[in-house]
Amino acid sequence: MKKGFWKTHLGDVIVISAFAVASAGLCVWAALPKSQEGNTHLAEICLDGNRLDLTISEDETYDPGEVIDGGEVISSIHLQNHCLNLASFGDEELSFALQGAVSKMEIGVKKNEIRVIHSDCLSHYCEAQGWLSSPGRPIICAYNHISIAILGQGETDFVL
Amino acid sequence: MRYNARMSNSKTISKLLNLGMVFFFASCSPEASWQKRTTLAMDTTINLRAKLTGDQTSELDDVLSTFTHYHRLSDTAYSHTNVVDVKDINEANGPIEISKDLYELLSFSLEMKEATSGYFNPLAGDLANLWKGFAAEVRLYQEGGLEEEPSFPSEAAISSCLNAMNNTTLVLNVDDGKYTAELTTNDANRGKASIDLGGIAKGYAAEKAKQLIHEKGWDVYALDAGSSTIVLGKNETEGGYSLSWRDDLPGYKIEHLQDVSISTSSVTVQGVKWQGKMYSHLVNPKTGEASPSITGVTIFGKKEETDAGMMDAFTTALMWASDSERNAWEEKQGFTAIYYLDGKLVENHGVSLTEIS
Repeated sequence: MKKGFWKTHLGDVIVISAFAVASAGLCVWAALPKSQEGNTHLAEICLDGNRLDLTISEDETYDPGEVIDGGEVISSIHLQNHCLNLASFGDEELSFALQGAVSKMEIGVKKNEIRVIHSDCLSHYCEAQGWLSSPGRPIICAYNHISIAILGQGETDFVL
Repeated sequence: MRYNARMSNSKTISKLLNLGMVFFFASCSPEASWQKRTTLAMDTTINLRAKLTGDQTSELDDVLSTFTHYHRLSDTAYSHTNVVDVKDINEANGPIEISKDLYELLSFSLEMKEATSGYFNPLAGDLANLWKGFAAEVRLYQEGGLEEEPSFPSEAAISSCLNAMNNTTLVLNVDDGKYTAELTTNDANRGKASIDLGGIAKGYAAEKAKQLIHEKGWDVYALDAGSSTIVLGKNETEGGYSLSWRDDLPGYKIEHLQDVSISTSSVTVQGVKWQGKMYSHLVNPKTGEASPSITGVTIFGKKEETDAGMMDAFTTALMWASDSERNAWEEKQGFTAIYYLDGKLVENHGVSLTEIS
């Protein structure tokens, strides 16, 4: 009888087992934490709300804009996921030029911090915001359509 | 007997098969995930994230376009193609036709002027610009870019702005479906004041965006309009949202925020310290001064009961109001408030703050 059962229902058992394995797999996948950009040392620079693709082009300049440190192109070790890896910088401030929507801005960066040194905007609020070192409120230069934010989850969801 | 046994096995297998199908399809049902979009409008970034099923980023963009729309309408600096904006009204010599949306925004600004006893005034733009210019000079001087010490705006200049503002009327009309706006003055020698909706447009747009979100039936969302206006839906899975202050009130946070609208006014970012006082774009339309007794205020209102545009106007007004006016408005409008000065809490009217250790 046992032999008969397997003979008759082998296909059913395989199908059910496949369903069970697939269901269990999906449940485990759903329960797994999804990868997020939780690194609080990555600075995202956006133009019109879209992240600038900070990568090295073939001629070894950054695109868009020039990312320059004292005339030398910043090394790719400072980039991660098209963001600036602030943790890779030293304690001494480096500066680079960034092409905004209207004019070039000067950005300052050091270990785990970033700021706007100069923008041609009239208000200079972006400069007045000073160093940014944690996620939350981004630096905005409305004139140049630029926002700079540190990625990740800060101590709170919103920072005023 | 054999027949019955086979029948029984078939039933069991059938049941297991059905159960397996239920598990399988339950696992396959689309899971809601946080989706986020950002836009730049009204001199700041507007962030919207919502927990939705499927890719609905275009729906998020749809909501965010509310801010772009009202940014164009309220623009005082630039003209936009096929849009009659505030700049056009300011420059017109007579009534001009405007859109229904701009008509309603301007009407709302006049309502808020009344509600705030004139502490918010849509015609205070010239006065604000006068003090903005002073703040810019101070900033430049402090950075070493100006040799001569900056001087305060003269009494005559402040007086001129106040006179123009008080003698100018924003006339709104609707006739046969046509909406018009006009600035008139009863003192042609002093010139007209100009409209500036900077103190209200972001909150007004946030309220419209909130209404659109509700029409779409979204429950779990967070709308951050440049940190000065925040509208929060639910966030049940994570125990609500949390909020803190970077410069205005370091050392404090608020947790478990849900279904709430938040608005803040502060002189910290845009202001400058000169001779021991903070000066900024926030002006008192009644006196012409630009150095309030507090450096900022944040108010909280139940999302369903408080209008984000109203809250935006009131935060501006609360910077200048007396204690009795503040208490009366909080009770009438249904919001709670905290007031701070130079990074320290001055008054807490019912907000549940937690100290950050």
